[in-house]
Amino acid sequence: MDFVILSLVMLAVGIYGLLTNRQLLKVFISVELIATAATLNFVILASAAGVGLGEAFLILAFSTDTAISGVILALLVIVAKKYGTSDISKIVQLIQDKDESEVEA
Amino acid sequence: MILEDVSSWLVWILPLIASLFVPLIAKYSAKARNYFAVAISVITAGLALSLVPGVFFGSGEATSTSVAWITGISAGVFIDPLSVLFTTLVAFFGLIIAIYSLGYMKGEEGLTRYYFLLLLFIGSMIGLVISDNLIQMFIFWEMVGLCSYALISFWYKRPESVRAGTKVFIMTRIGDIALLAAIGILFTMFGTFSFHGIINGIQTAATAGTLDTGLLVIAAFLVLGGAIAKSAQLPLFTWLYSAMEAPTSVSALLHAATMVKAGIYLLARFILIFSVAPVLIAALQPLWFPVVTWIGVLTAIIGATLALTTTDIKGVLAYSTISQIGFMMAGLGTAVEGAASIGWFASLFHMISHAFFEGLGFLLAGGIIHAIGTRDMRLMGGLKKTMPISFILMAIMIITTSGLPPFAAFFSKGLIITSVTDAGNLIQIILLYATTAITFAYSVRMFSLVFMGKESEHLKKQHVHEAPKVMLIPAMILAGLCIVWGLAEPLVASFMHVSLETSLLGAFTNLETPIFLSLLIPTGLIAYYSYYKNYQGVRNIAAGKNPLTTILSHGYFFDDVYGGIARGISNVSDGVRRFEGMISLFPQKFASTIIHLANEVHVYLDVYADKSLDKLINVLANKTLTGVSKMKKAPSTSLRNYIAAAVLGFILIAILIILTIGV
Repeated sequence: MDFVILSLVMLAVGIYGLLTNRQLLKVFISVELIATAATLNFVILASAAGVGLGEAFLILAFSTDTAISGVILALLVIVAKKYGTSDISKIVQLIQDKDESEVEA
Repeated sequence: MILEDVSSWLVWILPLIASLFVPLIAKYSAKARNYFAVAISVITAGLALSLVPGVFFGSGEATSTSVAWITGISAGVFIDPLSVLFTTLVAFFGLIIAIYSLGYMKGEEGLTRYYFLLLLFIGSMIGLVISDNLIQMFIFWEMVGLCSYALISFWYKRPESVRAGTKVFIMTRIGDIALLAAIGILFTMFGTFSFHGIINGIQTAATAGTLDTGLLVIAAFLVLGGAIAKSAQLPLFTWLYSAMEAPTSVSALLHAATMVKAGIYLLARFILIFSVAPVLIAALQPLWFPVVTWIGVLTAIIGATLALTTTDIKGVLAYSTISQIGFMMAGLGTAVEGAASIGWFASLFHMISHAFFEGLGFLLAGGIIHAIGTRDMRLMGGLKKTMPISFILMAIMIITTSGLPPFAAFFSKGLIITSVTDAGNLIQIILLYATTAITFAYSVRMFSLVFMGKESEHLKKQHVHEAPKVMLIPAMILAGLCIVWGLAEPLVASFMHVSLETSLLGAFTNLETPIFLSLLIPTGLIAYYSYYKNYQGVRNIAAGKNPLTTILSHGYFFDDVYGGIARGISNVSDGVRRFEGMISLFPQKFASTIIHLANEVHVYLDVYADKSLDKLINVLANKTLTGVSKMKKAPSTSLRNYIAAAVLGFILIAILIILTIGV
């Protein structure tokens, strides 16, 4: 039960971080927190049910999560390099400005 | 039997695996890649067709084969009339679209990605309808969503496409969560994901009298939520209009066979599952079934009215799909006896006729967009001369859409109207009839705007040409099916192992037909005179500003509300972020204040303490000197005043002292 609460807390922190942060890296960390919370929840319940499936799932989830993280980090680097900032609201502003200028052109 | 076993597995595994080979083959030759995709679609369609005889001549009972996948979860195929009907439709449409894409997507960039996603889309949709358990189905359900997201934003360099794709992904995701919750409830109740297991579980619990119908009703509503988001029904229908940013071939596939039809499949499947226990149906009857019908009816009329106002040729078709799927939902809402009721068969039959006429509409719209490079109907007109074949095919399409006899939708829509009439809610019946009338009006409007009248200025500038053969032939096949499909009704009924009370001839002679046809006349005439004869009366009202046009031009404000919600969340998070910023600054401010104070004290001690005494004396002396010199210079009256003030002050102080001491 404690671990379920832990995973809930992680989920809450992740959502909070997702809502309040504008830095790409911080957003990414929040997403990872949520994903880990979900995995943790899965594993806890599987171990409570006494099924070996949880361990198998853990390994699967970690490996896919790592692969996804790699891709996301690469994308973050590209985005940060392209726009020269890692602030999401600024990037959105830049994209919108570009759209508008294209429409005008 | 063995052949069927093999083909029931291959029909979804083959496109999925073949999709992985598309990038490999593209390395050698682009042409080989295109024809490879077509070849795979042909084989898939063949495999799907090979399943048909077994079901047609079989008993209609569901058979399933499965293999162990993960402990407790198996992977399998579920063969019954419903799944084979959908499989055949999807495979057939995959073939049509693969051939059409050869012409429509010619010369586009990123075709490897396109064909990869197309095969993946077809494979996952077939996998969705043929899965024998909920987990497998859910995985394919998500894959369908992913593929449609990727295909809708296929032209990823256009910001609108990317935005549309994201919108589709987020809106359908709401339904996915509901479906996942329903799967969770069903698993906790019956301890299994497989359809057979759940059916057995419901039956056993129902006979033992221990069935928790309350929980199952909640699960049924969650399933409905999943279907609403996927099938673009009220209140989550706005994504389908945005999805028009997709290439038209993708739109055709999305509307006719995959994605939006997944919701209909889901509901039809769950109505079959729920109908095994009369207790459960009795629990669903007061609330769940009416809600399904109401959603269907309201979506039908809202979609139809919106189709009247949009100026985007694909937008008309998109709203038309929303409206037609509303019809199917309305039919499913009356299917209180499962497969035995007319509504169930009617909506599936209409699902297929809709696939034919809507697919045809999109293929033709694709040809038109291909030829003149715009989707705005105001820039079209007079295409009758330059695109004669498309003109004839589009005429077939709008006749079928409107449900005029003897084309496909006349029979299927008639069956739905019959089933809703039998259910007997007068408002629903009136709304459905109104929708059929409006359907005719928007069809005529689209037809007139695109093909009739004079050539617009936009068209005069360019050389308009008829669509190439590779795009027209798939459209012709669909047009042929539109014409004959309605007559196949008895065949389809016996394929579905459903006994129909009404015959083909009965569709002409029953009471609904004259009402239905007479309703088409006024709206048809209005649309005819407004757009065909260019009579300005109605058009001026439609162009003017009044409450009705405001509501319609805003799409009943659904998107505005969603935008408001999104902005609200964003504002709250902004507020929280600022608050957090303030709080995190607080310790810093506090510390900095203390440091500042300490610094001040230090400086004071260091600098002032030494000299302060000297300074004080100096200051006092100076002040006295300046005061005295001022007094010297001052005129005598003011000196007297000073003295008077000093005396007064002294007296006041004396009084105060006396009062306080109390002498």
